[in-house]
Amino acid sequence: MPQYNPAVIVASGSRTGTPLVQTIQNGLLFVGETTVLVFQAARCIVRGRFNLRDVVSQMAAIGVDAIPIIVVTAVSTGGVLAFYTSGVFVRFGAGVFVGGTLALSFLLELGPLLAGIMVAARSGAAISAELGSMVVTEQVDALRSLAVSPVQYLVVPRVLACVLMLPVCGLVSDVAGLGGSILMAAGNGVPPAAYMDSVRTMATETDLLKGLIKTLWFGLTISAVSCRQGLATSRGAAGVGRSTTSSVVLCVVLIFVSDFFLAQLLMGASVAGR
Amino acid sequence: MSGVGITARGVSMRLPDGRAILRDVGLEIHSGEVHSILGLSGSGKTTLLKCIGALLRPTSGTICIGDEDIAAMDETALNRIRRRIGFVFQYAALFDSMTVFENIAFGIRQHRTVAERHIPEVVRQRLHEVNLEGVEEQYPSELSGGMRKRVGMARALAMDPDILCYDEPTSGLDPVIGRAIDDLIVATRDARGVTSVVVSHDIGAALRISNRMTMIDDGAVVMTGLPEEFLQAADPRVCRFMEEIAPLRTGYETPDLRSAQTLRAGP
Repeated sequence: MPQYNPAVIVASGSRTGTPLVQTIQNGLLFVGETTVLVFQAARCIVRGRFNLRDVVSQMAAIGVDAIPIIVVTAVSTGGVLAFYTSGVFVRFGAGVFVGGTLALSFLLELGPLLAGIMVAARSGAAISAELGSMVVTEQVDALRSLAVSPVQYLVVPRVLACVLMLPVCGLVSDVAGLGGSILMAAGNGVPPAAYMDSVRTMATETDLLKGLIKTLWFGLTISAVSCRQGLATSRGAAGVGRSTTSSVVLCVVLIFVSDFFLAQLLMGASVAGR
Repeated sequence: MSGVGITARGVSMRLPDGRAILRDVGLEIHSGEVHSILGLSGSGKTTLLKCIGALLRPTSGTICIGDEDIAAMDETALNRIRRRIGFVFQYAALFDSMTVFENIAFGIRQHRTVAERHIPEVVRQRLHEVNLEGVEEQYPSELSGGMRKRVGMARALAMDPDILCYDEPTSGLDPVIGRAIDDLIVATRDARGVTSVVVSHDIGAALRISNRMTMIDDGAVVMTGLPEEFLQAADPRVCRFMEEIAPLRTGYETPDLRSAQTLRAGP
């Protein structure tokens, strides 16, 4: 497999042809380079070529530090959903379904999605900006000149940290979202005991597991895309800005698109299982 | 430790859009010499230096470090070669999240070439070699430009290289500090016998420190020779460079060849 070489990426940044051809070329380049990066990182991980201290440090920066904003957004979203849902459900005499409906929404969809988006916006942007800044100040070249692989030193700890911490963030998002919705539902005529009964009736541990499986994929997507965009940075400070923006946009779009297919896949497996 | 010769033959570098950065470059750098590569901005000299430093792979041609052709090597073999080459970057490229101590210790820690308990002594020695002391706990952002370049040199020296590549070592520095860096390049060559490749557009500095020089223009070699030969060159591109660039550089008078010859005297 060819080695991931940011210098080649910089060189390949200028393409020829019509805008459509350039867009296709850049798209293929993005997919190819991100795939190569993931395989190279995987090879380092399988061979144990990473520093555990760096991984733990990245887990704190990427996951733990993102938890406050995940809690705030999940509690708010849970509260708003409960406000709308409980109002309608109680009016039609279906208040006993509020807890289960919201729990399924959060466990299967909103919890993982909110965690993914928040980590992409906060930590994915930080990864791209940091690596991009290292590229334009030749710090990545300095690593290579010291015979240290940028993939091993920079990418692997971030990929591992993202993949390991996203499920934790997803779980926090689930709990915070349900907490917010219980409080709001209680204010709209659905007592917490009835809410929890409904959750126990309608949601299962499998639903929680399905949501957490999604977060593993989101973690891989965020880390791979952010690292690739960062390492492909060129043209100074403006380039760092561009790669950071494109990283967040690509991560969010890929999270939504992959969420659609993962939902089909996981629900399909679930239906087949039943 | 001693230097090692470098031979480049037919080196070309082309971007995917077809633009040529280097065209059929041939170059011979002798073991233990200070060899300056001169040229205007955008002439391809830094690209050539990065090819020699095993940071870029040329599109075609061979670059031999000693007997080994690095242009044909895989990444694992290249990493073995990179450990023999120290690279001093134009803006030092220090790791800005690390202290000076951590920067200099980085390479030897990654490759475990020195026991952890001996690293402070190695760092102190390398800083002493570049005339810096007492800055171990400072961060790169707290250092002046000249100090950063010295730390960059100390980091490169920590790996005990056979070859040192300097990318514009005096750019952005005032004449006094620039001259001190030039002297340091020569002193390092004298003390360690390393082969030094210096990319510069500072003709005055190059004349003072170089054993031999090469000028490239538009990606191709124009001339290789002794500094004295450059002063008498008939090629119009060399003459233009010597006449137009030299007066723009502050701090270097018309080069005094006698003192330059004293400086260039090899080990």
